[in-house]
Amino acid sequence: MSGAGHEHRHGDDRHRHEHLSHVPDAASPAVYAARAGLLFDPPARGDDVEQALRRFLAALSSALSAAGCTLVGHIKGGVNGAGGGLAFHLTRLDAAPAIAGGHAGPVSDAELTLNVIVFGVDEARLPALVQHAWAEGAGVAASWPD
Amino acid sequence: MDALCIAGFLGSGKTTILLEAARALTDGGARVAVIENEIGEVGVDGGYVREQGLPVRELFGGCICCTLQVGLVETLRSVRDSYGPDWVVIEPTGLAAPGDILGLVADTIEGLDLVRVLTVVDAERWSMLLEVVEPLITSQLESADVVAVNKADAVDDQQLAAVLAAVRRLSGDALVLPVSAATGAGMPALLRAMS
Repeated sequence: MSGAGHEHRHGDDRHRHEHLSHVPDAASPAVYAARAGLLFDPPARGDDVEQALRRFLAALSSALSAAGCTLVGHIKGGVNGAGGGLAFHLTRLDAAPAIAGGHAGPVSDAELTLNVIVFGVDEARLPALVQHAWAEGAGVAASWPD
Repeated sequence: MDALCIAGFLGSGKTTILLEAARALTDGGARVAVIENEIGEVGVDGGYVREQGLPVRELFGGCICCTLQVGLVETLRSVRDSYGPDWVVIEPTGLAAPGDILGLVADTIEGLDLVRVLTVVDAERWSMLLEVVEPLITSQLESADVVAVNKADAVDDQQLAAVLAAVRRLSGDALVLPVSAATGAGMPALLRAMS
């Protein structure tokens, strides 16, 4: 096996998490995972990228709390560009996120990778909650998948 | 080939402990491969593990204990045949029941000598997790050979003692150890227990 990654997806075997029989119905997780292209205009300093990410996570925490979130599985991901990357992780809405890494030099474009699993929230609402929190919190242009 | 399954709820610290376990195995001369499973359609941890120099296969968009069982079996066989590791370390999604993974790989993977389950528990969120997902937490403990009660540094002594006692009640004969993957406290004892 090479060190390079290998994604394994299945056609018929690629199921949704609603079918996880061992997870009780009352605690059904809501999942949202996406990659979004980010455009910083004008280019942002590394510190400013991190501050935008912190504002997004704070806005998302508030939105999830208001939406009835009872438990955070995780909110994790990264912001990666040519000059470096930030990794973030959050497991409580009432705590500061763990953020590691950084960007050297101005950042003009980057990719946000996001994986959200929460309980007590209607999954159909998650994409809009996340994208609105990004727009309101980070204030950085983002291209989300359809 | 031996397999180590690192189970535990989302956010409990599985990936951090996986990296420590893999490092200890490679330092001992073992050839190690990693299988990462994410329930979402976008992987995060696989890239991080790869950056640490470990060969990784990723399975997205489901859970290897149930909806991606076929993918797990195919991936394990592929890893075994193409890479020939001494150890394959499997990190299922935090919603997985490791007992189902144990049964699956023991029944279907030829050449597998040993399968061990390390379940990671989040001491800081223990009460909160039991309130919402107790059956899942219980199932993750029932199949464990070793339980790491992680984030021991984030709770006081009284809370830690209560979590340890509750975990011991739920995990049968498993060895239960308090650790902090963040500070390294308890990690040498955990790695010795797994070896």
